[in-house]
Amino acid sequence: MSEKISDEPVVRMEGISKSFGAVKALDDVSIALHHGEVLGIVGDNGAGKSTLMKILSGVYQPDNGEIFFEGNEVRFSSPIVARRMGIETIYQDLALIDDLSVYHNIFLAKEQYLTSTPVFRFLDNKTMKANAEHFLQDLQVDIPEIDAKARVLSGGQRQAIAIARSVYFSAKVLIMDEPTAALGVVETKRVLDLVGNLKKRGNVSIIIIAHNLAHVLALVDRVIILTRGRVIAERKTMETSVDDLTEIISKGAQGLAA
Amino acid sequence: MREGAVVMVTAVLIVIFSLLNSGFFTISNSKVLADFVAGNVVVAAGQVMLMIVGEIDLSVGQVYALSPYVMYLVFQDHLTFGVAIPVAILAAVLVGLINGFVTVRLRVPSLIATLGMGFFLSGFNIFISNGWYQIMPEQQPYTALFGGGVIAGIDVTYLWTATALIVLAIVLAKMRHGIWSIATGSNLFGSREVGVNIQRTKILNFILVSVIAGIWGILIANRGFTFGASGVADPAQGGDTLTLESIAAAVIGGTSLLGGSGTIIGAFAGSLLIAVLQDGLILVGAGAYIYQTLLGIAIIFSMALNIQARKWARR
Repeated sequence: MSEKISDEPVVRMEGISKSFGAVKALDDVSIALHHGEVLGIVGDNGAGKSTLMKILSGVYQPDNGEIFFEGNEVRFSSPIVARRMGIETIYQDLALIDDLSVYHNIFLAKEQYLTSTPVFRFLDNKTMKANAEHFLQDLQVDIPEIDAKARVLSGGQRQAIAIARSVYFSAKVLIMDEPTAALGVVETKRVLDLVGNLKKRGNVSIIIIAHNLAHVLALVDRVIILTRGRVIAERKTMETSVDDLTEIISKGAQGLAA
Repeated sequence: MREGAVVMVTAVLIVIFSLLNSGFFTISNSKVLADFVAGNVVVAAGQVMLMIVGEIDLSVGQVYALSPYVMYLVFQDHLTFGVAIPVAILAAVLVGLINGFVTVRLRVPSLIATLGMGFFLSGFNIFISNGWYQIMPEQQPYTALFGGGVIAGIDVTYLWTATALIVLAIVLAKMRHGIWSIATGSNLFGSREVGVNIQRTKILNFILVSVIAGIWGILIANRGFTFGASGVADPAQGGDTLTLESIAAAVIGGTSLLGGSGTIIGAFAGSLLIAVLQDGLILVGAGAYIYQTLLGIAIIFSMALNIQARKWARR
């Protein structure tokens, strides 16, 4: 049984195609994400990275192709269905509530209670606070105070809280779309460190879409390079470099242009 | 602690009015102030709950008249308040439910939805009463319990008011509905994204403020009984004055119209400030227009302070 789990990727996308009118955004794309793996997807603007991830997170439905989640074929008719299975997307404009504390943000809509009666229950603020604090410490997420309002957090801290929230509630797959694009140097390091910590814990698989090849290579185990809706190359991190990837991307673009 | 500033201003006003008129800082006048606050503050607190989710109710003043009159009418038919009071409260629930439904489901902004409801009820109240007030009948224990009695030496309306404020403060800080209300008003789409039921949260607060207006309308209609007179079911009770003062109290107490923030203690501080201003100015012999002028300034000043404080916190 355990052997089967390690053999079978968490996510397998097979022969995915998607067109928007006359534009073919994805053309017969196949990728696999393994357990505990951090996978980078890189490529120029318009390569289809975001479209591919939006299909995986249920925002778009593919024209052709199949998605397998833990070995079973699935159809994600909406982001809610995908999230219920444990596929979480962390967006740039993160859904934190400015007027709520960090710990209420982490437990929002998944609150813990003092009593188990179905109505007129009191929140167990103390436990939520302690659990949130402990968990964030575990992930080495650095925040001013656990009951600080989200309003006062920096971009990197907000990103970290959003990621921590998904992981706490046992997300199996995390999709990060340009996690460091809007962040400064220190803030970027904060997010990169968090991803590093998650990788060490190993119970979540991560897909990172990014422009910054250096950031990607610092984090991922494997890189898939997309050009104009096709997978043109795949590299293990050990066997490649920023220069190598840059060359593949630019050659790929020229090759298709010629 | 934006309420802190309001409390300070109120304290300063109390000192000024006490110096200007020896009748201000007395037991009999504190009862006048308490009566005013007890009639308004819970409605203001309900308005705070609604403003936290980013909505507003302009029909509360009309519900404040509707419920006691419905209670009077049902009593005429059934001859027991055991039926009449639940029916009167149910009428308030219905109004809140309709306000919520029109706002949340039909997507009419609450400013317009409840403005319409307010006009509708103004006419409806006149229609069911023929424009006349009626002497409220007395039936114990209901009359004593609902505003017309004294328990352990304390006016029952004060007990209702203190209890309601404490309960609302607990809901806001210690119950899911409070957290969801703040979340809904602060970031509507973000809240929905993580699974907050934003529609139900909003509708519940529409019902809450309406039920409060109905109950406090009944308590105030029965108040005459506490000092040996009778209660009155008056179709003009409350009205736009109550509606606007409830919003004023909420805003002065630091509640943002933009949603996401507001406190019950703030509603109390705002109500007290309005009461002190109104009562004090009468005692020092200033005209009613001065009260309105100053209240107007207080509202705009508080709101400006509110918005600037928010910007400041963001830095």
